[in-house]
Amino acid sequence: MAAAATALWSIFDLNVLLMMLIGIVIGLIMGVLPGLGGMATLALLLPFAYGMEPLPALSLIVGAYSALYFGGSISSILLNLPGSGEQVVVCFDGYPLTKKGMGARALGASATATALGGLFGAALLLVTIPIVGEIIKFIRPPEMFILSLFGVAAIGVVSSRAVSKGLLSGLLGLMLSFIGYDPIAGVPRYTFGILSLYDGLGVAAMTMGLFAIAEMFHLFGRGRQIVETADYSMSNERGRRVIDGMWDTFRNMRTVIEGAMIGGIVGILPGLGGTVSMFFSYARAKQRSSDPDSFGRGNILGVIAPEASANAKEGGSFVPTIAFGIPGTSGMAIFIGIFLILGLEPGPKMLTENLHVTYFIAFVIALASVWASALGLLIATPMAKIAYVRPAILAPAIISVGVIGAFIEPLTFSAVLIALAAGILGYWLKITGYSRAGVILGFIMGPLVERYLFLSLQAYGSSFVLRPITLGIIVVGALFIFGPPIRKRYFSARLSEAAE
Amino acid sequence: MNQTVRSVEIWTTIAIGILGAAGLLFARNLPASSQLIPNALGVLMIFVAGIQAISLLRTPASTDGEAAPQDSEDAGEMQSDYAQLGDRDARRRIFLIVGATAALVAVVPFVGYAIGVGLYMAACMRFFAKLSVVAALLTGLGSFAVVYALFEMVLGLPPFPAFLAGMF
Repeated sequence: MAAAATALWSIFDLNVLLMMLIGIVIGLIMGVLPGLGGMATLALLLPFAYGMEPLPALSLIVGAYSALYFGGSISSILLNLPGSGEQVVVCFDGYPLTKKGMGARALGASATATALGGLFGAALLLVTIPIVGEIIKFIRPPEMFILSLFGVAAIGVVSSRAVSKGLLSGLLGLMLSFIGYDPIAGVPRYTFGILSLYDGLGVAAMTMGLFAIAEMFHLFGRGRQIVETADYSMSNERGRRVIDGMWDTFRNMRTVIEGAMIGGIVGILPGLGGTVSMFFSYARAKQRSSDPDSFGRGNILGVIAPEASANAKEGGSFVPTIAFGIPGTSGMAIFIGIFLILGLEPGPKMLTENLHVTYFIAFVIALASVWASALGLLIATPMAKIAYVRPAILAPAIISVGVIGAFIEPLTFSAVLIALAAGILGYWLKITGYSRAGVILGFIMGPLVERYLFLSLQAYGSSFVLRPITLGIIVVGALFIFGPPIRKRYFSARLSEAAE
Repeated sequence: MNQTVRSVEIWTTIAIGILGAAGLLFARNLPASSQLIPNALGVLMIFVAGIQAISLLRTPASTDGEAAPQDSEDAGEMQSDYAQLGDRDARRRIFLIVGATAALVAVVPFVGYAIGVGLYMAACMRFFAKLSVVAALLTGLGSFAVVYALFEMVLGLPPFPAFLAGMF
């Protein structure tokens, strides 16, 4: 309780509030820009964590992350252009509503549902923390070792196009993390005598390269602006206003609660991602509707349901990230890096001595979701124009920020070279369908994996894998990773047999 | 999966497998405790890359020019990603932007980050975005000012007027 009070008190610090506001504006702008998305935004904000105190830094970054979704909703609804891949579901009914002249109403509904979803996610995080705090007492280094490996594999598998590619992505990230001083024995590994590699490749340079710079190479390669033509109109007529959309949301509270619950639960389950929660919420709303045929033609529930689940998922996905270091979504992989930069190691300490930080994150999600929706509604129309920016202008600007961001922390030229190399690697991984989230998570978790293994071997010897909880996690993890492809292959075989 | 996509996939898999083998090889001279995880990962990388390579080699290449990858739920997206490799204009643009970024990286140790970024932005705006010379120069100057202000704040560089005075 004292930790929650401390967190609540900290949030009203002027510096924290200012950083949150800056983060929200950045998040809304980056959300509107299709092709950038959450990962690139987090990558670009990551270097700021080096020079800031933990709480203002978290309010900046969590604030931006909470605002991203509504930024993406603006372009989804007004321009039929999803800010991120998963937001395509918002386009299904959002854009038809705009075409009917009800863009403002759809935005009002979207903003309210997103804010309520954020509040639900924050509440879920607050409620879950004490429960997870009890569970984590049984978790020892062997379990943390297996959970860390499972997290790397799960996020790789879910965010790539094949199980083998996902696993290879995670393994590649782990391998890259071993460049530099070995944290246990203190000897340099894979440095080839190059002094600048002794401190490793650097989280900022790798994140910047793999996400921000690689994304810009890809966008520049497309060669055309993101939005060619768009026709959107906002109306102030009765029944078409923002306030009407807000009332729609409050009138359909059951849809909001269902969507938020789906989002929260999917967020807690590692690696499932936002697409699942948003589509599932949409399908549930359609299934429950008395007029399912109107979905896809401009039904306001088709906007409310996925939007309620989007931000609720983020609150849920912080639970495994904070407690076990297992990211619920791809964005959480970068969050783990941000936590480590701020000196906050995900795991039991976040539920004991750094508990106030965990509560602080929950409060920031709640406040930032509401602020982002309010601010986003005020500036939605001019902001939608941002999507017209040409890659030829956007790419050099973002690459410049990426280069500076990579340089700022270690203040060495080698970091810039590493960022460029990571950019080329990231571009290649993107077009060949490997998981960049898996690579970065493997890279960030590498030292922790090694430390947990060392502690496990010291305490239990090689029989640590036979501990009941460890064995249980191995079985569940294996089912989670290998179950879907085996099932798919089995059903394909059955189908082809039936066809014959 | 067409021949080009298949070749790219196979060579990427082989490259990752070779990386795993290199990891094993270079870990040989390390103390035993430092070798443990790199060795395990190296073996795993070779194993998984091997399985993937065999699976790709067993997949016959189609001749209809369609890039339809196996195990893919987002074949459409992948097709468009691969299309970048097949499109000569897209390849040229990628080389241009990577080349320009490499030039920026090469020039910054000599001229400083703020000037490097300013020059890079001016050149990109002129040649890629086809802005007028004046607009490109203004963008470059603006970028220089922003980066300088950032460094002034973070690294404690002298204020810009003092920097200018020092130049002359």
